Amino acid sequence: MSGPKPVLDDFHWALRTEIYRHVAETTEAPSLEALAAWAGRTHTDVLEALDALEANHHIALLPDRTGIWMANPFSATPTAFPVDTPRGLFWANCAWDALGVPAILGVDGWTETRCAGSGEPISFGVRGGERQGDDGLIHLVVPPRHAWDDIGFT
Amino acid sequence: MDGWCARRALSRGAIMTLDQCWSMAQGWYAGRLEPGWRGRSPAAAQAILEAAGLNGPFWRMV
Repeated sequence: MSGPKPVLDDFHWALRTEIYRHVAETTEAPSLEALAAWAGRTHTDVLEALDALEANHHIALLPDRTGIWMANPFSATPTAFPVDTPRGLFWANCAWDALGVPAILGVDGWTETRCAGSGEPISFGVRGGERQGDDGLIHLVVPPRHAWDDIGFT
Repeated sequence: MDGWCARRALSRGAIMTLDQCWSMAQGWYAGRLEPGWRGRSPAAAQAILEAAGLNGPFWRMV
């Protein structure tokens, strides 16, 4: 998306907070209908506000714009990075976010996945507040400053 | 890693260890569930990366 980013107002920030609250408490992203009901606004109003949040890199919508895809570090759809926590099973967007989930929630979290390079199983996470498990390496292809150029690829 | 890049026709990027990632993630995601969260400046993000030892052109936020 090009051009100046939309300015966010109190409604946008409240919507963002509600999305994160919902995911953190339920492990799932709220539907657009649920957000409209929460806000007391129309589906169109909510979708326009979500567009503004996406343009400001706070959330990502599904490619068909029918729902929330990402509220980093959380993914609303299953990924290769499940994070098992005392608050339930969350999906992380990438290896970085697999450790982002315990960081944002302030809880332990554990991920069982496979190394993208070798295909070997890898197990890592946070226990007792400490990073534990395999000593893998994360290879980032996209510099962080360009992460939102194509967040799905990133 | 080079084979993984070659199979996808991608250039090699940057590497961080899982320990670095955990160190960085704690700062990166601090406060994001709070109602008062209003984003972070590129300079603040840069400081978080550098505190985890993630330096160099790849990690520049601007």
